[in-house]
Amino acid sequence: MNTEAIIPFDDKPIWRRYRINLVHVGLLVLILALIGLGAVYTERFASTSNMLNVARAAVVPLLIGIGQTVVVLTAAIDLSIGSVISLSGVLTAVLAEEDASRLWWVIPVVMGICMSVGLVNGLIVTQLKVHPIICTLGTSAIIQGCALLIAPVPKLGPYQLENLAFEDTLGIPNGTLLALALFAVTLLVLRKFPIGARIYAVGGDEHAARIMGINTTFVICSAFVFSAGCAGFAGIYMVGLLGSGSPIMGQGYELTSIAPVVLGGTLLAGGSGGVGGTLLAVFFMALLNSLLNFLQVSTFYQWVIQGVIILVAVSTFSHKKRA
Amino acid sequence: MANQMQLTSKLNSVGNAPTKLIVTGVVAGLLLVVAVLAPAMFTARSIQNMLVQLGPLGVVAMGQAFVILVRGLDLSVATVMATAAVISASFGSEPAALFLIVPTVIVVSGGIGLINGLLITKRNIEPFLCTLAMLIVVQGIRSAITRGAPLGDTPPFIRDLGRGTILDIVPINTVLLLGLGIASAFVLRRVVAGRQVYLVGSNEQAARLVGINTDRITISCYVICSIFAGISGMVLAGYLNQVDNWVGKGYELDSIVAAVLGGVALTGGVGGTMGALLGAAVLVILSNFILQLGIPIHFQMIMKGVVVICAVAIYARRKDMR
Repeated sequence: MNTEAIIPFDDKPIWRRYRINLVHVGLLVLILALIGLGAVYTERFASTSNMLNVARAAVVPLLIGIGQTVVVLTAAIDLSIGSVISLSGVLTAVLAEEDASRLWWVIPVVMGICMSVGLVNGLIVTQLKVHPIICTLGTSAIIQGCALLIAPVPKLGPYQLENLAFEDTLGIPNGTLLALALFAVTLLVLRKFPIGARIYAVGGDEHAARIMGINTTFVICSAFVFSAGCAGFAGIYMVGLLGSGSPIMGQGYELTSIAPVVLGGTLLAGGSGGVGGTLLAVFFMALLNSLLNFLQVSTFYQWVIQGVIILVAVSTFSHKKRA
Repeated sequence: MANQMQLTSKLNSVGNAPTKLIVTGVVAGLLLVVAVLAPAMFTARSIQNMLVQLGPLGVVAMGQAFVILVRGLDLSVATVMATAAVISASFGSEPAALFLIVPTVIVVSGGIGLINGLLITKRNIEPFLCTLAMLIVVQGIRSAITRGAPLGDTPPFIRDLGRGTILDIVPINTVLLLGLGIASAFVLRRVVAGRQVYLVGSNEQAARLVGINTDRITISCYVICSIFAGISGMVLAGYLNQVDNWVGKGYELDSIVAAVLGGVALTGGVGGTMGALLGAAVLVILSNFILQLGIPIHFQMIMKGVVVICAVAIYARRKDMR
């Protein structure tokens, strides 16, 4: 279990309080190496405009990666993220119908529906004792079916949502700012709030956590609600990005959400890791994709590279744990 | 807590009858409901049609059963099926191509299973994550080779495999399905390695302590699953008679639903391929039922999700399933 998250204050001097996380250092080195390589290959790679593109491309993976990290920390997994993105996108487009004046109630309603999907996931896992993989695979099919019933074909959304995706504040894209704010809040909650410590405790040993008096049902349900909320927001953001909501626009995003989690050193067994690694891993993968685009590598080989990176990362970390 | 215990005892009091009997009972009840509400489903033609659809799903569900028996899960079956479909459409339509297609499909799909098994046993990767990552790797390689384009129709013998019939009565793929089913049931019940699958699935450490090479058994299960998925991919390509890069999409969920519904426990070591076959049959009947009733086709997906969650939730409370 990650002790520094459990005991927020101790007597050590500040530079010894946090052990240096080797995964974070490794990812930072990789990120710098990528930027260096890219800058050598073409000066356009390290330019401000390309870095802003990378920051834009990282928004959706970062949003859903943060949600997935919290679920994985409780030793569960959420495979319904892709379908929740689709549902959220379709609902936003269908309810708002290109009319920006409706957004003030559409966004809370959509977020509420998505978060209740998360609540259902949490209740099925904790009350019916269904394994998280099967539960979220099942709810994923149900939600995907619902999304297709609501709108079998993509629907135009309100174009004002594009502000979210394409406008900048102080030179930084709005979406990136929002995702980073979510990251900061999650980091703070995981490290300094009781619920954060409880999430680690439940992931480390659920039985022991329950005996200690932690309401494990509440903790696991909160994690699923948070993850579904992140996916729901990612769906709304994608409506802004694409200009429309499609019932299949979230397909494949389960893997996109899990990849940075495992690459960032969060163990699938739960209770170890954090959102810091996820943030670095998201930017590493976004930079890598950008570099591969500059090198004109086809999307198909980018899939292969993504899969191989996940396999290498997870086999390294799981081996370390067994030793 | 008290409520939960009451619910548990209530569910257990469905009888101490083995789960198999209950599954069979549910199937019988389902057939009765179908017979009343959609009598058209019991015409000879409709039954033959459903048998043809059962072929590919049944084969891949039996493969999935092998993997679930050793506490695994294979999410890469759909991409293996698509790969097999692409292979079966890329050697021309000469009858001699059959002797190229079948070995290539078995070697390629078996190879994917071998990599899955090796990564899961030797590098200790979570099965679902390993097969999910393999899914995208295989999908990338396949799409890079085909450049993402559809490959058109299948050679005649693959078409026969998919939708041909013997004497206009028995579909060829049903014969293949039964052959594989009987062979795998025989292996699991009567062959030493088959019994060892159950031992590894129910208690891996104990199995290792009595001298079983648990890694070899687990890897074999993944190889068998992938080869079954490859065979299923050929059959499905023949049935659809149209090959693109997404043949078999959705079969990862369908095969898991079928296996779980047929009483293969996710905790490992309980169930068998015949159960998975029964589960696949239920799924095919339910899907056709939804079509017959004229309900939008997307309800099939919702139905599958509900069925798998309910099945697992109920089985999780039964003693003989733990």
